[in-house]
Amino acid sequence: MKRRLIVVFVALLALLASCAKPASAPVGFEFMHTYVEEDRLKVIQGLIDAFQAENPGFEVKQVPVSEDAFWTRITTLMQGRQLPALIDVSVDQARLLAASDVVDVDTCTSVVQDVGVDRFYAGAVAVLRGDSGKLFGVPLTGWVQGIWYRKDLFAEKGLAAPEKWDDILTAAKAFHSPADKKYGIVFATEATDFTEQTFSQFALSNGAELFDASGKPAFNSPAMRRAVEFYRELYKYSLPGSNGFTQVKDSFSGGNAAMVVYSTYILGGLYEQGMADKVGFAVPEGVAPASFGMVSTEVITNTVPEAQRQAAAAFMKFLLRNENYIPWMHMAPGGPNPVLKGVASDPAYLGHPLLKAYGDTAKAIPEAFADLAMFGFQDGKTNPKMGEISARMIIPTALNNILVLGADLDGELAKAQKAMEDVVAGR
Amino acid sequence: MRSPPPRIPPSLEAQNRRLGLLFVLPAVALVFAVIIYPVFFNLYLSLWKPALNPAKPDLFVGFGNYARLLADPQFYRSLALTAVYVALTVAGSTLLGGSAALLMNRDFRGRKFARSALLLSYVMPVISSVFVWIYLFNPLYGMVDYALVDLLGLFEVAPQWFDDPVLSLLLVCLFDIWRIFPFALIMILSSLQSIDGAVYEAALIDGARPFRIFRCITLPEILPVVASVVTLRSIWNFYKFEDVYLLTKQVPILGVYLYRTAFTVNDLGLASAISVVMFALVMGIVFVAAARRKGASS
Repeated sequence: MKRRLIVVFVALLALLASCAKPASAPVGFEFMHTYVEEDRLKVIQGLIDAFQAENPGFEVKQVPVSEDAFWTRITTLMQGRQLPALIDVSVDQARLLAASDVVDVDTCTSVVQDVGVDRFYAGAVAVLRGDSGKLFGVPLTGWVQGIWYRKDLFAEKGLAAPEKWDDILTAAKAFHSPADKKYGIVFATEATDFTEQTFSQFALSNGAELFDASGKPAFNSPAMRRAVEFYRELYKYSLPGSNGFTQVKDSFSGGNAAMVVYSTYILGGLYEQGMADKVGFAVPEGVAPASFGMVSTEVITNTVPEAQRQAAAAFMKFLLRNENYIPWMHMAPGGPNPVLKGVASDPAYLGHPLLKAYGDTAKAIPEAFADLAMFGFQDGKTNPKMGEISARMIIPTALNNILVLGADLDGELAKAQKAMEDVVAGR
Repeated sequence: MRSPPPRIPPSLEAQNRRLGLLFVLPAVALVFAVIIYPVFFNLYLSLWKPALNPAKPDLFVGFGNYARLLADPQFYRSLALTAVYVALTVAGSTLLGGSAALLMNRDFRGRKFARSALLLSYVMPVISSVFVWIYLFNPLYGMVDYALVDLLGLFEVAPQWFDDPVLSLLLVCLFDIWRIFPFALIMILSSLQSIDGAVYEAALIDGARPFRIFRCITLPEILPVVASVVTLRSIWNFYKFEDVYLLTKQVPILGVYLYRTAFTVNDLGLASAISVVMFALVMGIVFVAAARRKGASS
């Protein structure tokens, strides 16, 4: 009896052992992102299911993290050597990850090459090119920023579209009536990256780059100073205070502002309010127009085993196929824009009711990715210190001090310049 | 050949001691894992300049982080702001909580409802209360601006509530007092309810006036609880971060300064040094308070 029990026990153990380690265990990896909304999670899960059905050897687990806790989570995971294989980040965050050497630049570059570099808008790929010439991320989607204005109100007053600096200022003055809670133009002024993004578009439209030819910060250059002065001048016709996403968006949709500087993520709300036909989009132009946008970047990390990196690469190539790419784009129609040229004019993409309502504007917006301008991106390369300069909020803090707290312009420029020099020197 | 000496069974006391040690072992292990180890690791980290990527080498800087911290004027500004913040919020919330507790100790119709309603601000998630306050003070559609500017005409242009350094400090204090006073209320109310009613009756028979009754009976009875509330609240508010950080960028108290150093500047070594200094300061205050209380009671 005892012997029989032992035999059964050993047989069970052998069975368990064979279950625990099948001949070909699927390669699982984590995909961390900030799309926490339930409907977006469903769309992503649908795409993951389709990918797994097509590739039974791979298993993807999505890890949604709220945006405000995202960077904290990344740094703690990095410290604990537990970064996921695939992370959806902004270009700024991708720059920081690249500076910490946790990006598998070879795999990222090969994904873009396999998909076809020519299929992407040139600017969307160029902003992810590091010093070595390799890519520190795969561009997936992107939003474009510019001046959204009320076409109907501009027509009533016979004003020109707010493209040239002078036209922007003239329109801002014309609509400004704070006693009636009407403001000429509302834009970001709080000490966050939103302000850096907004300001950079004005600075770059004035030809003010953040670094000189030798890679030294140039925040005190005459062109930059002029841009800050213009930004301060515009603030006179704005809603006073530290304005962020809420104030900027609400002031436009509530009819309190004739112009706002915001990303394409404003389109959804305006469509729901029936304002799609009243809204125009302009790119500010000082000495030259400056298209600004942010590319949603997928980073494949080098801290996970090779098999996981290849699985993440396969998932990226799957997502960048039109039939999977368009549902991703329609998760928040209008907000994320295609970085793939073919998709921007694809009837299946433009067929969404929201995009139809905006007509040619929706079709034209992704063109901005052809020639993106961005602080720290010069001569086709990204300055490796740009991520840290952005993370330290040096530029938005200076602007917030100048505009909202009334600090001395030259003093703040000098302080910011010194802070940037410290970053470049590794202090 | 001699046989080994017979094994003497351990005494019952020794057995109990061993069993007792076995029982406390999980708790001790837990304290080591979640308190002692992080404290010492933090102390260790404060002597280094750790790379964000752990595969890269860390740089040993000795007391360099402490030297940088003590030379940073921002640190002293944050320390002073924290001291003001703690003093105002602890005093305010204890006074408001104490007054509310005295009121809730009386018998009146709807007392049960009033008691529950007063706890609302304490049980509401911080993020919700912060957004309610931000919307209250919104310059476009906030109730406060509407009441003060449009209805009452007290200001021509509404003040920049969360941008002005002084106003924003006062507002974050007011927010915290409003949010946490129910804690003092609960503690003081439970202490008030433990006072024997016969003592009050005797005082009334002796002709004592209400203020005298409060000063000679109520106050001494609730004072130990008030002291505990003040000590606990001071420690908690010294480490405060979330509501201040969410409401304004103009009040960089130590918690906010620490967070920015760790996760905006990504300087984990300096951030560890800040938390070590904060820990030392709080422990110092706690020891002094405990010694004074011990001296007073003996």
